Formats: sequence, C-alpha cells, structure tokens
Amino acid sequence: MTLTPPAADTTPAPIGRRLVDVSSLPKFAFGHRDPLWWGVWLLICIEGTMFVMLAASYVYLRGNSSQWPPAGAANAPLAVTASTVALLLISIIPTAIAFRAALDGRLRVIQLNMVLVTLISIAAAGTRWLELTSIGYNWNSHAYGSVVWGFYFMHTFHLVSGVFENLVFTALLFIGPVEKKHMVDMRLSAIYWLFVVVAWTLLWGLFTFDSLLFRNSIIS
Amino acid sequence: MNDQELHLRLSATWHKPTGLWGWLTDNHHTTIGKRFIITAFVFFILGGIEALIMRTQLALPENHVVSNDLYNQLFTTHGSTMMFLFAVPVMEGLGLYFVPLMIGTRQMAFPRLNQFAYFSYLIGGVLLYVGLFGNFGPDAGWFAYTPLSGPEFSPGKRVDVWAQMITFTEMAALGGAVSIIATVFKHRAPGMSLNRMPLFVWGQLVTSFMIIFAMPSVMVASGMLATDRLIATHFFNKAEGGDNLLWQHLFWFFGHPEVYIIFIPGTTMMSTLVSAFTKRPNFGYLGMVLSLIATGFIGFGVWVHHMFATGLPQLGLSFFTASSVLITIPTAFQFFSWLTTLWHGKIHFHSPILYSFSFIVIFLIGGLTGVMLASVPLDWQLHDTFFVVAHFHYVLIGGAIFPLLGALTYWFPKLTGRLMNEKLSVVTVSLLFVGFNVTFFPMHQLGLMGMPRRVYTYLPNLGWTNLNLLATVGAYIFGLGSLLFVLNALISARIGVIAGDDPWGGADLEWATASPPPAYNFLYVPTVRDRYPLWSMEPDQPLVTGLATDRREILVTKLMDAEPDHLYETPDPSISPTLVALGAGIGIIAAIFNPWGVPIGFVLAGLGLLGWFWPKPPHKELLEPQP
Repeated sequence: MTLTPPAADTTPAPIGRRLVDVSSLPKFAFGHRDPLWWGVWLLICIEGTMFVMLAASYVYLRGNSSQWPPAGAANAPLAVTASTVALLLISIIPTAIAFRAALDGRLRVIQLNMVLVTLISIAAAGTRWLELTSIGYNWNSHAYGSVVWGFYFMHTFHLVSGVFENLVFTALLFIGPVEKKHMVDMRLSAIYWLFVVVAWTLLWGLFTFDSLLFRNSIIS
Repeated sequence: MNDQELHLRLSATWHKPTGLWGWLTDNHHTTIGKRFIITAFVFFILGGIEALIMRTQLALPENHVVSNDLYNQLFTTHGSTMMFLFAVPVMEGLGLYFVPLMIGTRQMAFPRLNQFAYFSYLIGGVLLYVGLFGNFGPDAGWFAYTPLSGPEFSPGKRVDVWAQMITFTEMAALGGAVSIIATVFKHRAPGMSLNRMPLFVWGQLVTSFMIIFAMPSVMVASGMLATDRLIATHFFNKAEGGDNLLWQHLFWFFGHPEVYIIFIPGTTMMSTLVSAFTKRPNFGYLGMVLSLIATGFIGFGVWVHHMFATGLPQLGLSFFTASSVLITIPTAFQFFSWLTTLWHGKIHFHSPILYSFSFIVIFLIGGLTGVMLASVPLDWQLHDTFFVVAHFHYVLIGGAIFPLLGALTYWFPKLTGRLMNEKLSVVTVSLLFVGFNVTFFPMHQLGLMGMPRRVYTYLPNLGWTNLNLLATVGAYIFGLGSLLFVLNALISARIGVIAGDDPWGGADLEWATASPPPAYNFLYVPTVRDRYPLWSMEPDQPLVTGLATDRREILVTKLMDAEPDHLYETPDPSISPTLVALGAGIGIIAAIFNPWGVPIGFVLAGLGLLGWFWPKPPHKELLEPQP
C-alpha cells in the first residue's frame, strides 16, 4: 500500500483525501485467503453433514434391530468393495503431488498427475459399477438395504461428479491457456476430490466392519 | 479522470442487464436480494390468506367454510410457506441486499450461486402452490411426520410435492448461506475487523453457519421420505426394520435450529434499530456477539424437546429440558442490552422503533411460554394443543416479523430511494400489535382448555367458541395491518418522500452511498476505523483506489483484521445458473413420478454447470510454460 498514482484503467485518486492504493496487490491467493477456498470447504461441510446424517441413521436403525445386517443380506464381495477403496486411496498420492506442484505452477508435473488421478478415478467408478451390480439385496429388501443403498447412491453421485470434474479439469490443463489463477482452482478441485475419497472410506468402513465396531446388542 | 467519468466507467462495467434476458441473467446482489424479498412477501400474503381462511373456519363451532381435507392442505401449506418460502428467504434476501453494503464492497463472493439459489427457491415455491391449487397440496403438516406422511397413509402425490419443495428451498438457503459467509469473511472494507462488524452482519454470519449444518439433515430426511414413497425403501417402515422416530430426529435436528435461523436475524435487526433510533452504540457489543454465537451452538442441542411426548429415557428428558432452558441466558443478555441502550439514549420516535417495542413485549412472552414448555410435565399436558400454536407464533411473529417490518421501514429508502409514509406506518404497527395479541393470546387459554391443533372444527358445548371467535377477529385486524404495510410499501415506492442518501443519520456503511445504491455500490470503496463507521469517520477518512474499472474487480481483505490482501474478479451476468436451477428443477419434479428424474436432473444440471464454470478468455497473468 503506497500513495503512488494509480495505473490506467483503475480507480483514480480523488483530490484531498488520504488514499489506500490497492492496484499493486496480487490477483489471486492460495488457501484461506481466497474466497473460493471458503466456498469449497463450506460445500464440504454441507455434504459432509449429509453423510454424517446418513451414517447416524445407520447407527440409529441398527440399534433398533435384533439382527443387523438382517439374515441373508450379502454385501458386495469384499474384494470388489475393497478395490474401490484402494483405488480411491491410491489416488491421494498423485492428487497430493499435483496439489503441491500447483503452488509453484509446475505445469508438466500437474498435467501428469492429473492424468493419473483421472484414470484412477475412472477405474474406481468402474469397480463401483461392479459393486452396485453385485450387492445381494435391494433397497426395498429391508431398512439395512435402504440405508446402505443410500450410502451408495449419495456417494456414487459424488464419485461421478468428481470423475467429471477431474476429466474437464485435466482437459483444460492440456487445451490451455493456463493462467496462474487456475493453480488456485486446481488445488480446490483436489481438496474436493480428497473429500470424496475420505467420505467413502469412512462410510465403507462403517458398514463393512460393522461387527467389529458394534457389539450386536439387542434393544427392543 | 474525475468522479463523473469514474461513475460512467463503473456504471458500464457493473451494468445490470434489463428486460426478460436481464431477469434471467442478472446476478447483482441488490437485484437478487430484492427479488428474494419481493417473492417472499408474495408467499407471505398467500400464507396469510390461508391463515385467514383457517381462522374463518374456526370462528364458530361446526363451521363449514372449508372441508376437513382442504383444511389439512391449508394448515400444511400455511406452515410450510411461512417457514420455507417466507421467513428463511426473506431474512436471507435482506442479507444478500444489505451485507455487501454494510461491509463496504461492490458484490457478493458468489453472485452466480445467489442467482441459482433464487431460481431454485422460485421453482420450489411455485411447485407447492401448483399443488395446492390443483388440489394435490400436501396435507400431513409442515413437519410431515411418518407414518402419516408415508406411502401407507398418504397415497397419491401430495406429500411428494412437499418433500421436493423442501429440496428446492434448502438448496436455495444453502447457496445463499455459503455466499454470505464467504462475503462476510473476505469482502469487508479495509479496517472493518471482525470486532467492528455491524451486529446485523454478525447475525447473518451465525445464521448462515446454522443453515450449513442444519439444512442437510432435512434434505436427507425428505430424500428418505421420497424414496420410501417412490421406490419402497424402508427407512421409516417399522415392519422392515425402519423407524418412525428417525424421521422426527432428522427433522427436528433441522427444525429447531430453523427457529433460530429465523429469529437471529430478527434480533440483530432489533439491535440495528435500537442503536439507530437512540443514536447510541449498542450496549454490550461483545456480549451481544457472543450471545448470537452461543444461540447458534445451543440451537443444535435442543431438538429433542419437540419429542418429549414420544417416550424418552429419563436422562434424555432432563438433558433436553436443561439445554432448552439454557437458551434464556444469551437471549436475556440481548434483552437487557437493548433495554440498557434504550435507557441511556434519547429515543427518536419513528415507526421503526415502534416495531422494536412490539418485538420486546411479544418476543418476551413467547420466550417465557417457551421456558414453560421446556418443562416435561407441562409439555405433556400442552403438547399438540393451541398453547403451542400461541407459543411459536409469539416467538416467530414477535421475533422475526415485527423486527423485519421495522427494519424494512428503516431500510426502505435504501431499497427504493423513498421513505415509507410515516402516519400509515404508525397505524400499521398499531393494528399489527393489537391484532396479533387479540389473535394469539386467547390461544394460550384455548390450549389450556384442551383444544388440540390441526382440527378443522369443534363442538359447541366445549366452551371454546368465544375465544375462537375473538382470535378470528384479531386475525382479521392483523390481516388488515399486513395489507396496510404492503399498500404503504407499494405506494411509497412510487410517490413517497425522496429520502436522500442518509435520512436517519445511520451509523453503518449502507448509508454512505446513494439510495438506492448504484450498480457498483460505492464510487470508492470506503475504509473503517470503528464499529459505527459513519459516526466516527474522520474528515479525511482514507478511500480505496486502484480497483479495475473495466472488469468487476473486488478487494479481498484478510479474515480477522480486514487488511487489503488481493484482488478478485466476480463473474459477469450469465444464463448458466438459471439453467442449472431449471435442469435440477426438471429432474426433481420428474422424480415425483419416476425415479429416473434424479439422473436426468443430474445430467441437465451438470451441463449447466459446465457453462457456469467455463473459464473466460484470459486477461490475467499466464503460467509459464503453456501447454
């Protein structure tokens, strides 16, 4: 902040008033200095609360049941569900590298890692499809089915959005022109993708390791 | 370049598009805020007409103005309208309009999100009324308890209309909340540190955070209800392991914070008015802010007091009684602070302060009956009676509508450039105050006498007739008052006295610009050195220069102390957010009839989002190297 005359095309100086000249300030900023960073985190708060409410409903309903999951309710094979989770978790590595590289705008590194993230997220969407087609009950079979399908529905919605976002973003990185400001967006997109990964890891953990997490108590 | 040239340049850059295309594409916060307010008042009138029809039906025993079926639709639509289509949107609308003006910026952080929010809200509201006028209006109460609202006891599409209206209005409220928080945190004028923010802005901030954590719960719940009804899931079906009380928990985890979401802005309007019409700083600013924040937190810990009659463990009853009573502490702090400010100041008697006095009386009574209802034995007696109806109207009308109308009278010049007619305003507030109390005070007694809520008629020998008739007379007086307010607003907007920039000698930055403000809000972004910037301004208070005039550039400041940090460009008008709302709308409405509506809406909205976020041709620093 200096009292120099403003550049062309910017608000000029009125006569006789003290001034705060902001024309030399940067055009973007990383992290919590950026309004959009708040936007993305608030979005995560909203959707995170929805996931928490679904998980709370799962726990609430299980407390009312003498047998949970109900007899004969077979989840998708562990190998399939675990591979989705594994793919999602692996995608954290290239996401983190791209996230870091965005700070100093190393475009080649970002491009390479975003391609990896996109490919892995597409693979995860593929194994998700296998999961959905191999669940041994339906949403209208019982309340357990309803709530676990609820997890799947909500998260697949996010997964598809995430894949879509990764695809578009990666394409733009190759088409260009790439502005420095896009590095901010790149990091925000990575934060959102990490949310998609973490949300599913927790939900999957909840219903997959149900018997370890809860004593099968009977409240009636 | 002199001020005149600057005005012309900024006007061109911030130009609001006009005509139908402009209506679909404009994203300026004053445009969207005003639209929210006007649309909410249309729904307020509709909800008021429903209330009058119900009161007419209840005026006499065994009356036949409307059928029992229509009565059910009326009270459901009335409650849903007032909560979802009036109270929350109108408070948020005022926030969208005034927060940027009060913190000294030219635009909100996410204008396109606001535009999307408005169209979602509009579609949701229209859906509810298409239902009512088409005789498939929801009829299971504004909280749609299962199993009554479930597929077994509510066949047809009525409850589905309700559930999808919820989806729309919650999307709208959430969008506005995100935008308000980011704006308050990042767009404040240099010098407006957090501890110098106007109390109204604090209220909007706390409310927005409450929306973020409360509304997802009801979206999840209404989604579950919709799937129970459409594709036979069993979330609330006891026979298959579901649970009806799950609905109540999810609903009230949203529903109770919702009440505070409605009256926290009201209390901060109260603070604004008390300070403006005594020409004094608010007493106990820090305590007031902490009270708002405390109310926000406590609001999430009391929801089970709506469920005392469902059979809860002893410990649960005690806990939720205690937490419910706890809310009196921050609220009482605010009350005593207002009284102290009034006591120490010289009160300038204009109509807005009369609304404030009405608020003090009515909201206090509502609060006291709230403490009574927090006590479990009394709640068991009074649950689902007219006592509860009286209580929450005292809280909501007292806590939200009176300060809202006062604040609108106060801010009317900033919205239209003209003052509301003062004499008519005094008559209005008198009619409203008398009408309100004549309507709702007798309902306490009716409740104590055992009259249940949501009955379309009653027998003559129950002794409820006189009080019901009295309440109906009061309702018409209140209706007349409301009508006068609307007429006064409509007439004054055209022929009222020209107000000038600052007719009240206000303290906050909204009065530092023209009435109504130009599209760029401030010719020079102001700076601030105190909580009451216009009362403490130095003759040569610094101004901000150096913002671009050829694009919609905003000064972003630091979170705590609002030091200038960087420059941020807000987006131009665009049709995309409207298309996203429309695409999601088509999908959600189609989902009432067919589950494939959900993926269809998802794809349509996704296409709209592409346009929304597609990068503009670059004019900023390019990265090296380029692809």
